[in-house]
Amino acid sequence: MIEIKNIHKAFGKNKILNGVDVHVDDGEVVVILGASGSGKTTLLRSISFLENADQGTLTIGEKTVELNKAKKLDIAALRKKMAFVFQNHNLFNNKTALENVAEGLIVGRKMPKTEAVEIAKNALAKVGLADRHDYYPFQLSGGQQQRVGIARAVALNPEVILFDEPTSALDPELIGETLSLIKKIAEEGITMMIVTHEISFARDVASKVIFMDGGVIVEEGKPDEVLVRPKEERTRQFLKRILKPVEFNI
Amino acid sequence: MNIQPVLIWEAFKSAVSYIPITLLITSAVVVIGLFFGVMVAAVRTYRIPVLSPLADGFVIAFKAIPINLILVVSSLLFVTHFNGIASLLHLTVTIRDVSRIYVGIFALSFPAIAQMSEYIRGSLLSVDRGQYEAGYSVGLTFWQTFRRIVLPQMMLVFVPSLTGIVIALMKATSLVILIGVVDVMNGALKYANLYFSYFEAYLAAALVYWGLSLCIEFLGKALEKRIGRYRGALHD
Repeated sequence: MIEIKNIHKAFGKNKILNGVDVHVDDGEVVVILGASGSGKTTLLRSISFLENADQGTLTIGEKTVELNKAKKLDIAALRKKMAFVFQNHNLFNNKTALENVAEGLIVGRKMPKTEAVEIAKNALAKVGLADRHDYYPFQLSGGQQQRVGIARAVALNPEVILFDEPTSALDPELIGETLSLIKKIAEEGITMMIVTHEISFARDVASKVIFMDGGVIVEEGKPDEVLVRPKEERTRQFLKRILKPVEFNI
Repeated sequence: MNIQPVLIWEAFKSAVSYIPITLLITSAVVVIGLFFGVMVAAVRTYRIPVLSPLADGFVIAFKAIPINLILVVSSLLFVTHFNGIASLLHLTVTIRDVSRIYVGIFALSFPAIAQMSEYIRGSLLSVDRGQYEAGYSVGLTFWQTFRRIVLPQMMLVFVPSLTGIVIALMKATSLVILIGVVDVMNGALKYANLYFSYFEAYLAAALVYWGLSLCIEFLGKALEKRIGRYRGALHD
């Protein structure tokens, strides 16, 4: 279970998060939607300590910390419960696909090398890249790189995987394969928080949809409620704008 | 001008016999410069409190002064203070036991550290912040991320400059004659002083430096290729 309470974050005078609460049950897939600048990425980054939140508490399992007062050890302990999939994948450029996946296990989790490599190989097989172990990131396509990024997160067997716009940097043809991979992993019961602009994907995989605007949660609920019968005017506007060009159906 | 090939050859042989001295000083200074240069660059890049302004001051101070000045001052300090410091540390060595070569290495290290740290800092900044974040996200500490992810990627950017720096340092070692150490340059000049064959001697020294530079260039290219394998070819 993940419990986030009252997160505040400002960059200088620019307030990005104004008191956000999120509750995620084990096995839940929470999709966070919202316009650019609504704070959804900052929320995800604050949870994973990639940004220092100004205020707020984070609970994962038994462990609770105040985000702005967390000690190094607390941060390290909490980070071990999470994995992050980046918008531009951020694979380690100097490591092969297999090394990318195994690095966190061997160095971060102090796992014996043979065991880590075994897990890494399985993770790469799961994302359909069993034949790409020794490829460096520059030798992989954008979609393949993102799949290695997903394998890297899955291999850590974390309590939650955070996805920050995992398909935004991919070309349209590759978005589909990446989304269906995420869906496949979601179906295994891994807890996820996903920031995305893919509405139909959200409807497909989410157990809960959160709509953010101006650094607060405007509306949250089951995807069929929020995405089909939004209660708030702001949500309706957003969906109308994003769903407008419906000349084709993806 | 009447050039005598024999004297070129004699000067050349003499210069070649001092190659080990030049290479010893150069390689020692490069290793020291790299090690401390990375530390100084890291301290400045990551704005580590207290140390960062000190490192700033160090770099600014040693970039500003000529290398021959540092050599001579180091030598003076060495002559006047070495025995005192040695006895303070309860060492049994005295000034007679220490070769001037070490004074040269010591003196040349300061400008080397200052200069290398500047290039290393630029190379460090070229590594995307996403690489650090990826490291943290898989449970690596800052130090682990730095050593395993950032440093190797930094080297790729740094090595082309490193080749130039090493060659510059090798040339700078010719200044060690100021503190009484004979290297390639001054080895070549030994004969010139006897026969007034300065042109021949300088030509011989240039030949040796060309040879050494070519070797360094070659090593640099090989190193670039070796650590650049994760980037692939940039040409088609």
